[in-house]
Amino acid sequence: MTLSLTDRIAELATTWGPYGREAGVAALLSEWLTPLNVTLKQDALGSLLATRPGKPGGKKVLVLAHMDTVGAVVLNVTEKGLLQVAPVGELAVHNAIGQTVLFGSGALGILQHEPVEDVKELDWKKAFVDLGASTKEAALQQVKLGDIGVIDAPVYERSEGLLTGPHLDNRAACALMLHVAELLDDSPNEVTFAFTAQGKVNSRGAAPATWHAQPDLAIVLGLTNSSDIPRGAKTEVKLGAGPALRLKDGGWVIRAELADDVRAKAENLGVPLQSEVLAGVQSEAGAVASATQGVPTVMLTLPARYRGTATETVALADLEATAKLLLQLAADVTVS
Amino acid sequence: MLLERLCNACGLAGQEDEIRALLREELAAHVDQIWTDAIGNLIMRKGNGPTKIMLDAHMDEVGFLVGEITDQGFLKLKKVGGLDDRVLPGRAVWITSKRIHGVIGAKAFHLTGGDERGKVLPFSEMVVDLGCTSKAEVEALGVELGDPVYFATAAERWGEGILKAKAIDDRVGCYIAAEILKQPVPESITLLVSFSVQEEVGLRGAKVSAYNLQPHVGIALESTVAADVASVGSLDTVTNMGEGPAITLYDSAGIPNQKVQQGLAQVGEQHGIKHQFRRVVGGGNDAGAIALQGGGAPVCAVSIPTRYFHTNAALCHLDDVQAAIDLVSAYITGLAKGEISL
Repeated sequence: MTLSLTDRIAELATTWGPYGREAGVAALLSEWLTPLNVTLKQDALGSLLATRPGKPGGKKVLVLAHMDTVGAVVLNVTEKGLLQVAPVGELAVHNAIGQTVLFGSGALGILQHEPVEDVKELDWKKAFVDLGASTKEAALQQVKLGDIGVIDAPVYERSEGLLTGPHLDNRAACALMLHVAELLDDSPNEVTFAFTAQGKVNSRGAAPATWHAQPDLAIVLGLTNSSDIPRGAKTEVKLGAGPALRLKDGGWVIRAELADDVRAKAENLGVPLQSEVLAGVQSEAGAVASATQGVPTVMLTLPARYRGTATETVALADLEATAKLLLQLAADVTVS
Repeated sequence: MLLERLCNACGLAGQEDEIRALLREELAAHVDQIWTDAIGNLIMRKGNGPTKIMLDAHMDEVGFLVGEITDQGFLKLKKVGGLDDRVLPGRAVWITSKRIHGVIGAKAFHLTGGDERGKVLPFSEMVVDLGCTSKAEVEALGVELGDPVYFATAAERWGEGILKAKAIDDRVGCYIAAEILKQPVPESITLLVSFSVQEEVGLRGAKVSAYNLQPHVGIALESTVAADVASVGSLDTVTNMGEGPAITLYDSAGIPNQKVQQGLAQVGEQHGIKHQFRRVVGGGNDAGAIALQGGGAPVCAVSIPTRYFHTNAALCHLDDVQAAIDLVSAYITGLAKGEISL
């Protein structure tokens, strides 16, 4: 029985697997990928690569999305059994306070903070995780130093085809990639689907994964902040209006002819396509484009609200539209 | 001891000649092959087994370059690596490998007043005084723009176990690797040691050596901050001097491979070798760079807790250094025996 896209996202998003600790997610993805016509490989950083064979004369396409999530690392335990934690990557303390957090050991805790007079005083130094343990020894039986807590919350479908929950960044993109791997049946091209490790920490898994795939074209998938909320992104990207074609970010810029090609294909398919130009933000696209001997790279992003919180929100229609476009891009490579 | 000689030798990023020469001379008789790669990393190989283990220790230390020679005969400096302005004024320095004497000068305390007193002199206002009165006099000494500038100090042993020296970061790593190279290597192992260049300016040398060596596993041997000093709370010390080498949990340059990290802790437990974890997520070292080259490699760092590192007078405990040698040796043996998995 094939799970629906929504069920896949929900299961992926609630599977523990922060940066550097992606094995559980990779195992779940491997289980789903095994029935397909793919060769599976895991690299030294823990990225999972699923390669679908092409035909003679075909090109090599890499579709890539990171599979890790943010989290907070246990650095110390107080005598009273509270955990001192620190984020690696971009987990904001105000998004984590009050949340239940899940550790790799399976332990659950509550992330809390010293009382403050003013929200500006919020700081990871004053935050802690309460495991319900009253001594250091009892706490260390539940977690070890270096274990990572991630936000533990449900994923659920809301009205108008919206999906809400934690870690949709980037598990929604992983589910999308899997969906495309299932639908892709007659591409002349060899297509490698790379679910990369450590994407949330300077996109570290992307370059080694690209090195293994040696692609002619790479398509990077991710989430992007939408502009349609108060003080949202300074772009015109809206939720439900189709994927966004990233033209530039803080680490990369698309080749103009590639952008034209993607736009033309989207138009032919009747897939709505938005555009975005970001400053400062870095992505896996930069790491992929400069890996090995240089790779022509496209990045498509799913508009999302409230990234980094327990209630990240994406539109299922955007995923469906992206899948349609991806299938076309993987089958018909015009880049030279 | 070799560690003292290594710390006393001088080598900024890009100027690691003295360290390279010292290590080559010390280790030539103990290894199977030595070469220097295109960026200057000194590579040594011992053994010829199927499992390639890379140990990395960087040769360069923090310091300065001469950025300007003023008409009055003072030197303005440019930093090479992370240096804290608070610890600089009043330090004796050496210019170039000829060790020309100078001091980082500032006007006397007696002349400061009002807002100045108790404040750190901005780096842009610090100069090196060579006792010269003109640019011509400085040039006559053989000092040129771009010459390296080092803390002028000699290593000392304090009591039974403490070493005080400049450049413990990372000559202590070089020393640990050197001592491991003097031991026999198990048959199934090829031990590759990269004495790397240019770590302090962006982990540059290790990128090149890791790309060339393509190891099956890598361990960076480092010096890291020990903040078990006055005014720091017990949860914020990062590492404690004397409590054993520190296995990295996380840092900003890379996430250690969990199997390597746990394997190191496992051999520590198994052989009763004192060790601790590095309890902070900031900072970074060559481990992060090695992990990402080519198709990637499993890597972790083992660091010596060091008080006041990146100053002229850093402290480390020799028991921690010996424990690091024992821990990494036991890890290599454990891998060879199949007690540790990758």
